[in-house]
Amino acid sequence: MTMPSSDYQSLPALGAGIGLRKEHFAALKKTELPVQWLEIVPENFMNFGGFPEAMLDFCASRWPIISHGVNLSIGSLDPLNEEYVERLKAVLARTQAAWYSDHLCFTSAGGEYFHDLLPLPFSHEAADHVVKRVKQLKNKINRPFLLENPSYYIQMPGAQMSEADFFNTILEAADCGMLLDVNNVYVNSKNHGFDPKEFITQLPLHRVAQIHIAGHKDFGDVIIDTHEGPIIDPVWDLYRFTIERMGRSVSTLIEWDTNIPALDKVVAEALQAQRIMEQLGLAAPVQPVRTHLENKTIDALIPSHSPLAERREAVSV
Amino acid sequence: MVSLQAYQQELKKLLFFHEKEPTKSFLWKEALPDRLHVYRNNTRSNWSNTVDHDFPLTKKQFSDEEWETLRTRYFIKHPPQHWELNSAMVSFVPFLKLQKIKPYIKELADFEWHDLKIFIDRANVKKGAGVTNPTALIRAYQHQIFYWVEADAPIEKPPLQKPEVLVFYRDSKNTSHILEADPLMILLMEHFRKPHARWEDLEAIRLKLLPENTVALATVADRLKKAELIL
Repeated sequence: MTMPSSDYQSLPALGAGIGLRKEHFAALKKTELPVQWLEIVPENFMNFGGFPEAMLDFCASRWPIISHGVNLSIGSLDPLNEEYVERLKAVLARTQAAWYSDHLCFTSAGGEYFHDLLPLPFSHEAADHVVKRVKQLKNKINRPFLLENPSYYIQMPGAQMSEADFFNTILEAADCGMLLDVNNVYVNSKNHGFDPKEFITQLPLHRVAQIHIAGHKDFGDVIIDTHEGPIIDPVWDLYRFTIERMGRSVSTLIEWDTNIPALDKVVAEALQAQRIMEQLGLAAPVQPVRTHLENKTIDALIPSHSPLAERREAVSV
Repeated sequence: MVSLQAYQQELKKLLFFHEKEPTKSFLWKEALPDRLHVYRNNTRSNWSNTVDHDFPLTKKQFSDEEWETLRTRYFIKHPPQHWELNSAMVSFVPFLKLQKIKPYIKELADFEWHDLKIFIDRANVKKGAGVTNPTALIRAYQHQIFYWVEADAPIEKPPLQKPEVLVFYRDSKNTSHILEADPLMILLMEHFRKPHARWEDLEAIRLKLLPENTVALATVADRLKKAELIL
């Protein structure tokens, strides 16, 4: 399925969702909170069976699941990792994800993995390379694909265009969608001194099918996109500006990865995003939760206990 | 103009662990940018935290400084080659086996790795399949690792040096188990790993491999089925 660019606007607007994190597994099994949808980091499930897989199946039976990867390494000069792509494809099929995304960055070089999102230089060579790779990927995975704007902390040498032009060039040539991380725009604007609203207006907003918002940590000399702490007002303002500018409801995801609070706190932030879309007259009110699952199903999802159970809780997700 | 190839390789040189930390780079005419530390910290702490999480009791056997030195040496020799962090640590146990450390610590690391391995094994454990549980792994140690781990592997009381054979597996409810194995149990498990293995062939195999063993096969088989070691 090749999607013409205009179709990225017609991907389902799921409302405001939350990331699936192991800290919330127990709460999610019995929650009545109005969770709209879940975003997974597919690498936390692609290589695992057992409890993580059972938890994924449970969540997929209850909520729409969207996949947001961290190690596709779309900008790497290494060949696309075939095993990775096949496993990703299987997770997308298992969860019936309406689309999937990863970051416009590279995470590996020479077959070795950084396990961090490294920025690409905003160069013609990098843009051409990514376009080629996205096309390869689209031939392998038949689902809409979005690229996210990452946060970056250093101006990479070799830039031949602006970040916005880099995105426009790649997304148009590769004909893929965009996951606009509003918090990353804010963080980058502070770290590199530009106007975040002006930057957003330069982006191909017609290709945006999903938005991320999150907290971050200000270290004084640098702000780091740690996905921790409540979303600050300037990021909410930027989010409102973005939605208003786009003039449509967009699936929005609240990201937490550090010092993750209780489920109700994260859902409250999602509801705040939902309210902004409602206030702008762009979204329907939150739908009630789906019917309860039988207790039997929930009991079957109790994780294992062994001498190393605590350690296992720390593994993945 | 720096090529993309040169750029990516250079970042690897700057961010991965090295015996001697690079202090300059052709990417920047002046000194390295201060904010490079953000990427260095992210990369290295993601790797280090994974080893710490995957081998918590092994880590406990060392002082913080010793562990950090060992871990750094490991990552210098074995930068992650897998996109999944836990899987990227597959070379840690073989690396430890080559280090001058107490033999029981090497066995403890092996124990922790296999405990993790069965927890996340992708095999489908389906009751009634008539085969050995596909997640089951047999490990032999020269020390009493199992009971020592149950006691949280106290550093002041090392495990007894006495051979131990363990079976690690996960049942159909995703509960992990570790059991002490006896020769007959192993014989049954190995037999039912083979496709189309038959119960009626077992007695003859036992006579050949364990002629002294007279335990009722049906009793052992029932025990293994109940435990879901044979499905």
